[in-house]
Formats: sequence, C-alpha cells, structure tokens
Amino acid sequence: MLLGFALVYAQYGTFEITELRGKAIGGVALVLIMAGVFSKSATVPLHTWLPDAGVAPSTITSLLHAAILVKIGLYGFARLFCNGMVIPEAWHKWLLIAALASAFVSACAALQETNIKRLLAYSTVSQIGYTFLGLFAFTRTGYIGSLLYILAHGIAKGGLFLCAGIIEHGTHTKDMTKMGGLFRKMPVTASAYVVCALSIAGIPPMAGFFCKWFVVSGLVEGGYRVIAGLAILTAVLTLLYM
Amino acid sequence: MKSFHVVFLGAPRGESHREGSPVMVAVVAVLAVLAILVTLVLPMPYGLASAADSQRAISAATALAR
Repeated sequence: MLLGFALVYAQYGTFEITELRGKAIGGVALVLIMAGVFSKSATVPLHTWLPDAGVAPSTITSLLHAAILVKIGLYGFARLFCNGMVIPEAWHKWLLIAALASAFVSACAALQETNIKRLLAYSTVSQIGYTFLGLFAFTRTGYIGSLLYILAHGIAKGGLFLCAGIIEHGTHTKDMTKMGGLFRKMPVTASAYVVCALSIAGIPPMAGFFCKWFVVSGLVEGGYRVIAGLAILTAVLTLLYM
Repeated sequence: MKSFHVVFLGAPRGESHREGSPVMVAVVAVLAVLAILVTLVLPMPYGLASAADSQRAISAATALAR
C-alpha cells in the first residue's frame, strides 16, 4: 500500500487528497493500494486472518475486529476514491467481481461452519464484500447504501458477537452442534441475537434491508444488472446461514 | 436461519446452560435496540448529500459569475 502511495506521489508530486481529486490513478498503484485495502477489510482472498482472529481471542477482541477494524479499509477506500482520485473505468468491473466473489464465497463458507464465532467472522467477510459492491458501483445511491451499512453492520455484528460470547460463557462451547434449545434458557440473548441477525440478513424494516436495497439500486443505476442480481442471491445466502 | 435454528431451537443439549449476567445481557439488549433505532437515521445521508449538491452548485455558479 505504501508503495502504491509512493507511485501516486511520483506521478503527481503530492499526498494531499484534495489536490489529487479528479486525477486518474495508475494501474500498478491501484493494485497495490487495493491490496492494502482488501487485506485490512478482510476481503477474499486476503480474508484468512479474520476467521482465525475472531475465534482465538476474547469476545471483545472479536467484536472490535468485526465491527470496527475491518471498516477502516472501507473508510480508506471511500476517502481516497469517492470524490477523490479517479479509478479508470476498465477497473470498475474487476473491482465489482472481486467484491461479489468475496461476498458469495464467504457466505458459502459460513453455511458450512459449525463454530458460532467463525460463522459470524465469515459473515463479516461476506457483508464487507457487500459494502464494497456499493462503493464500487460509483453511484451516489451505492455510496450512501455502503456508508450506512458500515454503521448498521457495526452495531448489529457487535451485538451478534456479544451474544456469541454470552452463549459461549453459558454453554462452555463454540460448537453450535452442541447447543440447541437455548431460547428457553437464554431468552434475552436469543431475542437480541434475532434482532441483530435480522438486520444483517436484510429483513425489512431493519436498517440492513434499506442499506442492501440502496447498494443493489446503486448497482442497477450504474448499469451492473447481473452483479445486482447476484448480490440479491448473496443476500438470500445470508438469510440462510444466519 | 441455520445458526438461529441450531443454537436456539430444538431440544436443549445441556442442563447447565444458563443466561449471562444482567450486565452482559443489558449490553446486548442495548445493541439490539440500537440496531432497530439506526433505521431512523437512514434519511439523514440523503439530506446531507442534497445539501452538499446545492452548496456545490452555488459555488460553481459563483465561480462562473466571476
């Protein structure tokens, strides 16, 4: 990422974002900067650290990783390229494919997972891919949907990780196959889990639904109808694993 | 649906399973309420974006007039 910024400096002689506004970024610099953004935001194929980090440490650390830390890559991208440097049109399609692949592949991984914290971590990877889809549409509606989803996902995923922590504390296991029937034993935790999961799954009238709606609308507005259709399919997968 | 079904529904698989302490459940309850309330701030970015657009149009018009 630093090399990418050095290339930008070599080309334009400045690091000022305001001075770089409207200037086209070179292909090599873009690839280097995006490698940094994707690894920070745990996007496939640079996502492997997040499921491991989500399981090993305390619940609070997993919460911080999933709800706040991964958003820094999204924020960095938004600051640099939304109303900032211009990404050449030829790259837009490839960025969208990378984001969609991340959202879809990690949703499939979450479907297979039986460790509750790993499932939530894969869900984070998937939802970050979804958020990137809105940003990569390069439309106003897409930006708004993505930026709102950063907030909505942060709150809901924070709640889900804390619920997972309470469940682990109460059952002494992270393995979902050893749980079951906890609605009667943990009614408050179960209710909070349902509310947060509904938001992540994009069920109306929760905020997650409107954010995903804006993202899909932004994709359609940008002329990416096929990607928008596949994004809806990914949202259905989210509903299934949640 | 999968995680909710496996974790919360069906027959209990342990007698010692219990709810967290009041402080723990209060925090998740607050986050759940926030997850609902965040829907209320959804129109805000549209308003901000429209305000920014108008401001940009005024600046452009002023620059043209000069």
